[in-house]
Amino acid sequence: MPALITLIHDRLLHWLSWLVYTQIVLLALLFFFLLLHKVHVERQARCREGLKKQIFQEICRHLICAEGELKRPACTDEYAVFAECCIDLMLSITGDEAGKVRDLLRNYGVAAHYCRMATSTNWLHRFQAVERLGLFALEELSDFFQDAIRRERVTAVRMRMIWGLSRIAGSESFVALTDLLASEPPISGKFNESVFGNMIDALTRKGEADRLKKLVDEALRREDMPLPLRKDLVEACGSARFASGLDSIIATFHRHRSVPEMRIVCIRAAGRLAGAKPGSDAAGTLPPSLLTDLLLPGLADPDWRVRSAAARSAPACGRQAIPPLVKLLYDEVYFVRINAGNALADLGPEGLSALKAEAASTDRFVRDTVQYVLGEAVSGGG
Amino acid sequence: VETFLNYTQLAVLLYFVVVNLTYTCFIFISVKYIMQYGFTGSNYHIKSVLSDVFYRPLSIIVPAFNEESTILASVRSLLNLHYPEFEVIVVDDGSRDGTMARLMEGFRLAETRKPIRLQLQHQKIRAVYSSPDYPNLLVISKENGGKADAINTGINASAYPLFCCLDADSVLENDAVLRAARLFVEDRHVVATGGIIRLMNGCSVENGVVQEIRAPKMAIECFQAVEYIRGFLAGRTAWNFFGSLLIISGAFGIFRKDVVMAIGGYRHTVGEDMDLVVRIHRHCRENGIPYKILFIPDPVCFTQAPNDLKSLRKQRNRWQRGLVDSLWHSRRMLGNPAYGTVGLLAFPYFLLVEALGPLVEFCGYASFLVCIVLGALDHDFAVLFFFVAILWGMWLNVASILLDNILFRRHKGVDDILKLCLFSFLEMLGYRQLMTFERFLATFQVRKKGWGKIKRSEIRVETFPSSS
Repeated sequence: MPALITLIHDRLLHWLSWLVYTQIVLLALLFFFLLLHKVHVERQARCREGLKKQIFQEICRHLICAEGELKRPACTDEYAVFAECCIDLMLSITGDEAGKVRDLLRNYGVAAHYCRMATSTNWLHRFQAVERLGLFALEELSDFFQDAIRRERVTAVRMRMIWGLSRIAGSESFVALTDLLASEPPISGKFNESVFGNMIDALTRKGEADRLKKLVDEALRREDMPLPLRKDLVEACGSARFASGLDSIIATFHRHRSVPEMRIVCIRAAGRLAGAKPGSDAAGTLPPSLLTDLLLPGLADPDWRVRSAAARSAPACGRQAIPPLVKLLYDEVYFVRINAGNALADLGPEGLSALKAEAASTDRFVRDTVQYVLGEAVSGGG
Repeated sequence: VETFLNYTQLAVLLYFVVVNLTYTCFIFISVKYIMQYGFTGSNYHIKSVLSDVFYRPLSIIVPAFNEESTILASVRSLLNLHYPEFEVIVVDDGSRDGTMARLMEGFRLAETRKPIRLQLQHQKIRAVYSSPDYPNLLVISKENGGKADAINTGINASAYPLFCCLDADSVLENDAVLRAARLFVEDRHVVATGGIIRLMNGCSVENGVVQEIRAPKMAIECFQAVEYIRGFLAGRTAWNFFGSLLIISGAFGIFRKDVVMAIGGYRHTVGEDMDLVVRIHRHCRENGIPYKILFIPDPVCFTQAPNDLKSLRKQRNRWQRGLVDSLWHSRRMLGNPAYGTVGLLAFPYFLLVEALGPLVEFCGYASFLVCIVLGALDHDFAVLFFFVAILWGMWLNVASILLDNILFRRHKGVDDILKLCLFSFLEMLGYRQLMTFERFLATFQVRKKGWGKIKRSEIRVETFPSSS
């Protein structure tokens, strides 16, 4: 037994001394690597900054004065810097000028470089390439994106591709992307909304609003379209101010009136599209069904979330909304009361009079809400 | 006795090897995660995802108690954030200094009658103020009830579906919220995210914005800087990988309001940040709700680290008490397969390494001293163990600093890196033992509820000094 203990003890000491030597070597290596890496990356960052300044100036000279021959990028760094300069420019300009920048991306092989990079075996490289291509928003890449989406297995890259394609979507891509979103595992409502929003922008820009209206209507009527995705499309129509979609939204509301979440998004989107401003009597110009079927019944909905959304959109109904909004000041839910108060304040002098009439209410909650809203309206913060 | 002591030392050695091996694995896991994050989180991507209307509006809640020296700079930095739609709610938790006076004067506050709904319990509200200059700023003055109570008040007053909880002595990078909130837009299962906390000590701050990041000047601050880098980049990043992140720092975290409401808000405890995250895990697992709680290594929140030993000891004491209390409160999760990797991996780790670690380490030091007194010390073993402990600790620290520099390059100068490396070498020679002792004591003071106010330096408009 003592011999065994001695043996274990010796082994342990041997193992510990081996560990000490290994640690010393590893620590020294790591320390020198850290220093070399630091010096290298700082130098690289400085070089890249200089290169970016130079290329940016050359591009601007080329675009504004049409002078100076641009040098074709020769290495990965130069491609990256060229692309960054073009993206920065495109974010600050629109129309023909942005078109000229896109021509540079085509003519100087930058788009082709990233298309090649998008076939890399490393998914991180593919992700970066696809992101750049999406930001370039080159119309001719539509087929490329559709092919790439079919091949891609990594979800993060696929999602970037879907986003990239949505920025240049035509009517065919709209259908293809809607199919894709319907078949993909759900990512997030906001992501879907942004994809639909991009497509609405792209098609509107191309002057295809009528075609878009049909596409939206068809998509909302599709049997295989999951309800959450339908909700995201309605939300996107409201956010992107796609007024032609109002009829489809009202129809969707009728088809899904048993689902509170659908009632909420339809009311919210319709309210945005109606775009009522304080004091305006927008009700006269809106489809009557918007008021009679969506907004006004929404104010008396059994679900408080629907009442709250309807109260926010109520200024679109004009003075017709005042009596139900006053009633909502007595609602049991805080959000409904406060939204009703704000909506009344938004309805101009008549709404404010209705509020003032409730300022002496015997209900403390009503009094608090009214006094707060009136205070905000007076100070201009409401 | 001698045999017992030898076995104790052997057990401590084994424990030490297992813990350090775990941390070494964490470093390798973190390298992969951070590289991926860096490649997929470009500024263009974030701006495109959160542009126009496709973001989720957010309420920033700042609980403040006796924060007169930092509150103005902190709130100003928040009002300058790059985010499409947000409100800042400062909750003065019955401060006894000039916190409210500074806020009133700095933002020309006027009392408003805004009704606050009472969904979460909290102490009585004295008054609610708004600013004519900043319509998105709301200040609530209330009776003192502790940090959790103040945050609950802020949640009740908040208007948006996400809320960000922030310490009053912290300063955010302009795009920090944008980066942290991006995940809520990209993934419907995300319920909470937290960013990295870095030290403000040594940095220059202008108008509530950190302009230049430098390593702190005082030794006590440098030790903490190294600890923060290691703890956040190696520790929390790796827990992300296992889907079992148990802590989002109270200094900077973003949460989905509906989930926090569902668990009854913050609980009154000294470690309310960890407690909240643990209870979110419990709630989601028990109710079969798909969820993700994520740490993101990039959005940066700068905070003031204590620059005197007394404050530092108070802080560490509180952290340890908070940790033990949170683990105890949710003890049913320990080793319970119903809670997945949280119950089987994270909980045992936090119990054995984080909560009981100081006890084991203290036993190791104590047995070492007793062996010397009894003349029973195995010199070869002791010397080798000492060197292994020091070198492995140094290796982990240097690897963490390397992790920090792979992508983020926060410290621009090589001299700062050398300084941090120097203190990562020195950490094992006294500082660590001191902190271990404080945590050892704190483990037996769990019933103590006090926070122990930490001395703060004033964040001046131009430069934040390294030491007061």
